[in-house]
This record gives sequence, structure tokens and C-alpha cells, in this order.
Amino acid sequence: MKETVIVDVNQKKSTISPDIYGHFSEHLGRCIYGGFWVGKDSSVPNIHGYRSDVLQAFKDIDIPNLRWPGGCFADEYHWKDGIGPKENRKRMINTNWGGVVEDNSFGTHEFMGLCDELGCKPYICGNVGSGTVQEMDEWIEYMTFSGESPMSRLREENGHKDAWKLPYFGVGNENWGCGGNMRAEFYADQYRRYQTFVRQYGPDKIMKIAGGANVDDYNWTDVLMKNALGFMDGLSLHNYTFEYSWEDKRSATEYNDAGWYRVIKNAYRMDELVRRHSEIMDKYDPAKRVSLVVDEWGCWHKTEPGTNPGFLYQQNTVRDAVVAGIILNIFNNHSDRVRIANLAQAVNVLQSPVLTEGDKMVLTPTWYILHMYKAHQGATLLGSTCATAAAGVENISVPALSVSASVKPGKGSDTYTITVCNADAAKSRTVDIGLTGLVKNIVKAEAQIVTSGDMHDCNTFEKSEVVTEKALAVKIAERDTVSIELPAHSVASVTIHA
Amino acid sequence: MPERCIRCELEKLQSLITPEYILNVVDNLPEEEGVTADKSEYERRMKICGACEAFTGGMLCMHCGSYPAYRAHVLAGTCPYPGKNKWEK
Repeated sequence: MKETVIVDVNQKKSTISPDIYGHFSEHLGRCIYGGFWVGKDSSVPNIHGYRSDVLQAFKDIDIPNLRWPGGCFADEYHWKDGIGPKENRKRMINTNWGGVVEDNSFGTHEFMGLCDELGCKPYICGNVGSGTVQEMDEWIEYMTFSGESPMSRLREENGHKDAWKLPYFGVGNENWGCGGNMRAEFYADQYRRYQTFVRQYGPDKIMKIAGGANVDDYNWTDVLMKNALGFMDGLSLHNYTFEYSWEDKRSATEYNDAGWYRVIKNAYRMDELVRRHSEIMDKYDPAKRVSLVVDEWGCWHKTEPGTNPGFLYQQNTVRDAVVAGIILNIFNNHSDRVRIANLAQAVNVLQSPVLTEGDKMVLTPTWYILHMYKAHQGATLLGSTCATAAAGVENISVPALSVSASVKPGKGSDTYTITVCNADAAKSRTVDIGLTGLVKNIVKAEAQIVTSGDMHDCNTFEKSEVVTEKALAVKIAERDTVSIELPAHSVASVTIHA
Repeated sequence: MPERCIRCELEKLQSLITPEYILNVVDNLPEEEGVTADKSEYERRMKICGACEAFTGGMLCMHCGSYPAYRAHVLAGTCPYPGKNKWEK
């Protein structure tokens, strides 16, 4: 089967914000404790208490930003519990969560230190659901005020004289649900009130992100844009990919062809959601000043057997890799409006790029997708089309190929990156990629691929390199066209120098 | 319109799981020679877990997020303690 992808090199569109490739770390399960943070005294190799292997894994994919402390946890987090001497910090044993201890050993200083180690931007989500305006006001002052004040003095007493930069701040999380069960009109007013006290103390802008819609709640977006547009820089959207639904989750590793296609179809739904929410935003903000911030996305499967269901620990297969490839292509193609996104979650929770167990770590197939796609970060989106055949079974049909393309100018030549997913569970495809409008000749082309012989394959602590990134042969077919053989259930990244 | 709170639902689910519940489930798992641990090996492993600082709430291992009773039931199961499989003889 042969397919053709056309990339129009003269159709230069938006810049693909690196922040589309952001991550999310919540105080949930073993994302923070045992994931990023083991403490300085741990026998697990660490740098100032942060796991060395996990730090390196995220540096290797050029993590641009990290969202913290939640999620739902954000709207019950009181930041003062997590500062000061560790022995004085509040300790809580949550009997509802299997007797798990939250000792607040990871707080504001530890999070900012983590971002420093990773070289990424912090994206902090504040507490609207159960916090006060004063609490949010003081947190911003504590983190960002460099002058003399009670909060800046407290920060200095706790060992950090200099103010931190805080580029992104979310004013609440899922305020339609765990963040307070508010109606859109009520939250819009609450947002206006709380954000007033997210003050910018210095020259560095704090981008204020309003709590956004759940999936297809278009009314929420409409109400927020109508009532709070002038007070926000970003509006959030959350959407998870299930095989069926949140109420009826299925195994991460055991599925048939129909299960494969149900998940792929739901992944493609992100395009409709982004498009329709963007259309509403366009009505109020045609200049696209306000970013759509998809700060929770990814596959949500049944937790692994024998693990604490509240920890949301799930495996990650070739199917998750293809989902990540498709959704990241969607974000790239809508980068005129989508400028921040955060995969849920970074370590050991939901669709994680990294899993840990004791002192062991594995990179999941999703990590390899992020590694291949990092070439898109900061590049210029190009118009691309692909009149692809459908793939599927019975009554489930999906586009077989998903594509996005970008360019980065170089000194002697430009570098084009084209990422292509083959969502067909069974059939490989010959894919010709033509760079229409190319004046120069293609001088060099190379490609990488993530796939495996079995679409159920995953990386485990016993066999950690079953699904990895490998070189893929590329043929320069014409002066402006390359050709690849794309196996079934695979994601490829083609780099062309011209 | 969404009317659910995911965190509340997870907490509700979580609250149903007790050490007794876990042990009861594991006691009723099928046994197979060469695949599952025999009773003495299972008990030896669980005794080691019981003395470990990572054993939480009488049922949970914080090094892997799983219930050790499940891992101990499988003969090839290992202890995830950093740098040292405590179950190793």
C-alpha cells in the first residue's frame, strides 16, 4: 500500500511552542515520592534528593516545563505545609489511600530545585477549591518578590535568597469537579478575583492560566472567554484517551484489534476538541492572544494487577506510543492556539514516559516518541497534507496516517522534520514524502522509528528494551521527495536537510 | 456536563481495600507448582516485608506501588528494595 504526504515548504505557519512538550507531576501515587524524589539519604543514586536516572531521562527529551503540584491535589494543597525545616513540616497519613504518608518533604523549594536540575520552566497550579485568596497572594509573593517583604524574608530564612521566575501559574484545576464542583459562571468570577492577586512583582511575566473545560464542555470555554478574557493568558483543557470511558477502563496491555482501534479513534478526537474549543476562543479572541493549554492529556487504562488502584500505575505499549505520536501531531498542527500541553503524568502515573521500581527505571515507548519529536520544539510548522486510506475493523475506522511537519533554518541548509504515525494495526505502508515548493535539492535524509513486532509490546523491568527507537532506511526518490517503508503500528520521524 | 469528582471516586474505591481484603484475594488465587510460591516461601517473604520500612498500611510496598502479597505469591516475584532483593536467599 502506498501513501503520499505533501509538505508545502512555502506554507510557513505558527511556531511550535516547545511548551507543547511539557510534563505533569502530581502528588499522586509514586510520581513525586519514589519517582522524581527519593531524598538525599536514599540508596537510590540521586542529586540533592532527585533521582539521577529520572533527571537524565527528562533532560534527554528536552523537557520544557513541568506542572505541579496537581491536578486535583493542587486544590487541596496548602503551600506553607511544604516549606521550612523538614522535621517541622506537616505529616499526614492518608488512611483512605492505603496508609500512604504525605510528609511534605517535597514542597516549593524542592520543586523549584527540580526544575533547575531539569533546566525546565516551572508551571505551578494554585489552590482555588480549598485555599484562600490570601494564601495564593502570599505564595506568589514568596516565590517571585525580590524586595523586602514578610514572604520574601521567609523565603530567605528557608534558604533561598533570590526570587524564582514563575512563567506559568494556573488558577485552580478542574474547578468543575475536584477543584470545587463550580459552575462556569461562578468559577469565572472566582477566577477574576483570585488572579487579581497573582501579581507580577518584577519584569518577568507570569502567564495566568484559567481552569478550563473537561473534554467537550464547550459552554465552559464560552463562559470563561466571555467573562474573563481580559484577565487570562491561557485557558486549560483536559482530555484523556480511554478505550471506552473513565467508568469502564480496560487493560493497558491486553487488547484485540478492536481495542487498538477504539483507543486510536479516541486519540484522534483531540483534533475535534482542540478545533471546537479554538473556534469558541476565536469568537472572543481572533488575534489568538490567549493560549489553549492542554495541561492534562494521555491514555488512561486500568491499573496494573496487584498495584494500588489509587496510584494509577499503568503499563505503556506500542499503542500508547502511537497515541502520543498522533496527539502531538495534532498539537503541532494547532500550534497557533495550543502553546502549552502536559502529558499526564511524568513518572509512574498514567501514560508515563518513565517507570521506576526501587532503584530500577525503564523508558516506556512513549518516552521514545518524545525523544523523536523533540526536533519540532521551537520549529516553524509547515502545512502538510495526507489523503490517507482508512484503517480499522468492523465499525471502527480511523485515518491510517497522521502527520505533522516543521522546519528549522540552518546555516547552509534547512532542516525539515516530518513525523508520521501509521495507526494501522496490521498493514505496513510505503510513504512518499514530497517537499513541494522546495527550490534546493534534498542533500541528506535520515529517519528513526518506534515500533515492535507485536503491537502489545512494552518495556518491563525484566526486559527494558523491547520497544525502542531505531534507525529507519530512507530513500531519496527525487530531488524533493523521500520514501520510507512504514511498518504497521509505528511512528517515524524523518529528518531532511535541503 | 461533568458531575463527577475523579479524586472522590478513587478515594471511595481505595477505602474498600484493606489488608484483610488483600490477603483474602491472594488466598483465593490459584496455585500452580513451579509458578506460585508455596506456603512457607510466601510466608517467609511476607515476614520480610512486614519488617521493611517501605511496607505501608499493612499491605502496600512504596518501592513499587504494589501489594507485596501479590508479588510474594508468584514464585518468580522479586522484592524491589533498592540495591537489594530482600527475598533472595
